[in-house]
Order: sequence, then C-alpha cells, then structure tokens
Amino acid sequence: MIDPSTRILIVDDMALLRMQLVKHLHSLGLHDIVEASDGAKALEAIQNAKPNIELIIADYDMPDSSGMDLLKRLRADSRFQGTPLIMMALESEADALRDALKHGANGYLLKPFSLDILREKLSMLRKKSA
Amino acid sequence: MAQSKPSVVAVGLEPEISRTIEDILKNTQVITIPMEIDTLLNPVETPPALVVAGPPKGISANELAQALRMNYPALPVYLVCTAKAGFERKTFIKNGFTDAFLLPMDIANLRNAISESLSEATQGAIRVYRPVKILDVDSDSQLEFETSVYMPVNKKYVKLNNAGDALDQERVEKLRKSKFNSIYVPADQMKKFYDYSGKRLRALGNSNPLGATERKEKLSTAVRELISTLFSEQAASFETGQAMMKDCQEIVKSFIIQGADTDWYSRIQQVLGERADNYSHASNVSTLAALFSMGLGVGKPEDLALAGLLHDIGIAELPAEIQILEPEQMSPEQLEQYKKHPQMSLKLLQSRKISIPETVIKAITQHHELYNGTGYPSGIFGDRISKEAQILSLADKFDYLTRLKEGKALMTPAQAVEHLRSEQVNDPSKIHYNPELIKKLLTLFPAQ
Repeated sequence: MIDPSTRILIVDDMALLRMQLVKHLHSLGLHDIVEASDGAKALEAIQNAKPNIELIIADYDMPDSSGMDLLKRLRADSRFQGTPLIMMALESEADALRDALKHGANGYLLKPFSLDILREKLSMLRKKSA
Repeated sequence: MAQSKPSVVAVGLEPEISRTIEDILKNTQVITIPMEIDTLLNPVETPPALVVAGPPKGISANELAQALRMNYPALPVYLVCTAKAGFERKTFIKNGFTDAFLLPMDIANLRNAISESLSEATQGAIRVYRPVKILDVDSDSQLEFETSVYMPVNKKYVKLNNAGDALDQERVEKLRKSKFNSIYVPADQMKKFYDYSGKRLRALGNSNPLGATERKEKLSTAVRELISTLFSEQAASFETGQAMMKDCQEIVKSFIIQGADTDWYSRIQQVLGERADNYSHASNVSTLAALFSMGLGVGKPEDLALAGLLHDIGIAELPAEIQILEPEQMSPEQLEQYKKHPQMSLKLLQSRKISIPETVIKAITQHHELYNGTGYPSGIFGDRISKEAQILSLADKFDYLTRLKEGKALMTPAQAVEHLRSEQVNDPSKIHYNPELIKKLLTLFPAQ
C-alpha cells in the first residue's frame, strides 16, 4: 500500500462521487485528502498546496475543465511533471483512458470500481515508482 | 436448507411505481431508502440482487447513476421515471444505469428486467422463462439448456428436456405443426441458448447471422430505442426528423423486409404466440403488415412496415391511467380520449419534423376505421379507407388475436383468419374488414 501520509487530491465535478472516494480512501488508511471540482481549481490547489500534492485522482469528464486538460498542463510543467495522476472514466469513455495513459497518466480507474480495485491500482502505482 | 430471500434496494422510488411492481417483488426483501446524500454514501450491508432508482431528485442523473454503481459495482441498477420530459434513455445508460424505463409504456420491459435479474441472482431459484423460437432449436442435438412449452390455458410450463438432453424429435415435430412457435428457456440459461444458436447458424453456413429469436429481440429493442428517441427529441429540426426517418427505414430494411419474400410463412409464425408489450406490438404489427402486403399484393411492404412501427405512438401522449387500460376497460370519457390516438400519432410525427409518405400517414390515421363504417375517428367506410390502412388494421387485429393470453388457447394464423371470416359472415354488423382481403388471406393460411 502507498504511504498513509500521502497527500492526495481528488478532482471530480460531482460532490457525491468525491465523498464516496474520500470514504474509500479513508478505509484504506489514507486521510490527507484535498478536493477540487474541476481541472482549473485542481491546478490552483496543486500550485498552492503546502506540503505538495503527491497523488492526483481525477475524473476524465468534467464540464468546465477536464481531467485531460489538467493532465496535459501538469505534464507540460517542470514542477509537476512527476506528480502521479490516476484518471477515472466511465466504461463508455474507456477510449479516453488510453489517450490519458499516452499523455502520461500513471494509472486509470474504470468507474464503477470497488474498494479492492482501488487498493490494487494504488499498490500498482507504488510498484511502478519504486 | 432455507434459502434466504434475495433483496432489492429501492432508492427514492415513487409509491405508485412500487405498487405496479409489487407482485414481482413479493418473494424478495425490499429495502426502501430515500434519495439522500447519507443513504447514497452508505451502501446496504448485505449485497442486494439489484437496485431500482426513482427519478433523480436534488442530484443529476449522471451523479445518481455513478454513485449507485460505485456502491454496488457488479449489480444491475435500473432507473424508473414517469415523466417524459428529460427522459433520455441512451444518456442514462451511458451514465452507468443498466437500463432506464419510462412508465407506463415500459412497464412490461421493467418487469422482465427485474425478474431476470432476480433469476440470475438466485441462480435460477426464482424461475423466469424467456421465449425462444422453435425454429432455432434442432431436435436431434444435445442441448445444454432446459426447454419447456407454455400452456396458456392451464398457465403452466411443461418441460420438454433437461439441460444436457436432446429434444424428443417426434414431440417437437408435433409442436411445430401445431400452434407452438415458441418454447421457453430459463432466463439464467439464456447464455447457453445464444451460444448454441450462434454455433448452429455458423455450422449451417447461414448467410444471415441472426437466428429467429435474436432477430425478434433485436427488432423489439430497436423499436424501443426508436420510440424513446422520438420522445426525448426536444428540439426537433429538419435534420433530427431526417435522422429519425433513416433509423426507421434501417429497422424496416434489416429486420422486416430482408429475406421476408423467401421466408414468408415462417416469418409470420415467428411473430405469433408470445406475450405482448408495447414494443413487440409495434414490431409485430409492422412485420405482419409488411408480410400481408407482400402476400396479398397490396401497397408497398416498406410503407406498411413503417406505418406498423409508428401507428400507436400517439397512445404515449394519453394520460398514464388510460394507457394502462385495454379499450374494453375504459370509461366512456376515457374511450373518447383514446380514440384520438391515431391523430395524435400523426401530430407527434409532425412535431418531430419526420416527413413520411402520404400513404403511410393515411394508414396510421385510418387504422381504426372499419369496413362497414363503424370505426373511428371519421367513420369512413369501404374503399374510402385507404388500402394501406385496411392492411394495417387487419395486421393490428391479427396480432391481437394470435398473441399469448393467459387462460386462453393459442390461435394459429389459420384459426385467426377463420375467426375473422366467420364473425363477419354470421353477423353483417361486424363486417369490419374488407371481405375480399379476408378471402385472400384464407388462401394464404389453409386450415390444417
């Protein structure tokens, strides 16, 4: 499992889904969680966060500024190039996930996902960066 | 061993909806929860068999779908609405709902979906049967699924074979010759049927990859999608109208007209003898009207198929309490309103900017006119009723007569035509259909 002190940013326009994800993360022992409701707000949070955000879980499809926008901006910025990002998307948007991986996403979550899947994806992330 | 009842989670379901599905849920434990943040964040502890949600309140449909799917990842999550405004089935499914139902028109589909999910969740302990066409099953091969025949008079399923056994050839021949065109497979074994049917068709080197069962299912689904698009199309334009017309033509071509000339009689049989819902009524009448047009040499089959698909869509504009009744159950006032449905069908098509041929318009608006002038809305008689409308109204009646009705014996096509003939001959006030057409139909369906 990733370090329990990992600072995580959740980006989703739907409050209820952020709450569900927070709950899942809590049950995995992860408690340092920041939330944002779109890509632009997420970028702001990342830039201003102290200590730094260490993992981002972002929804692909958001009305104003999408997870994809956020990913591209981060990967183009030398300060945040290395910050791991996991992209979430619906089954019907699965193609977008391939695109996200191509643009430097570190993992993906196909919605809906169970707590077990979330745990698995997070542990895979650690193996990769180790 | 006592089997625990499967549970169903009902989220924010309107009481009148719960009542309409009460009977399907009687052997389940229904866990009713309000549509609130708290309850949506805390899934029920014992995993249910399925989730049924009412219309989203204080939350978007997308958010509701995703939240429920997150709570119950592997389960079917159904959305049930009663308001046509904002009902976008395709979008709902894209958002993550397993399916979305608009009541009252989708009631039969909702009941099927729920009972099949229950059957699956209990591994067949709750028995649900799905009709498959006898034509799709060989009697000499071993079948990995159980089949039964349904006796509507006794309301009983009688088993034909156990899973792993072959069908008794003689018995099947007898069924085939009589009025049974469909046999029944337990819903949880349908996958095995599809595997079998696919293999069988490939082995036969069939150029048409669809078995009769799948063709019928696909047609019914296509009709449901078509009609749901028709209602969700808020801003109708010339382009959306054209696109919808293209969808209609595609359905007519690929499911109804294709191959029908070489396969005429068996196509008729495939329509008959099953329980009807709104969509299978539309697809049946469409198929029958096109086939009658071919067989009787009246009108263009494509026109009649199109008219059949769309003839009753105006009914969906009537108040819900009228929609769920058969005409004979309606009060005089309700019946008056119901009789406006042919015109309402046309109005709806016009409002969606769907431009259909004049012959099709006449068929739709006149499909309840009767040959002796006792029909509605205009009471026109004889050949003042367009020939296409005469065919459509025959197809409509034919579907009614031959569909499966609980407590009544099935009617063969020959029996149905004979019924129409003798009714008209014995009582001149009942000359509802063109006697010439009936005479010709009799020659197409010789009595056995």
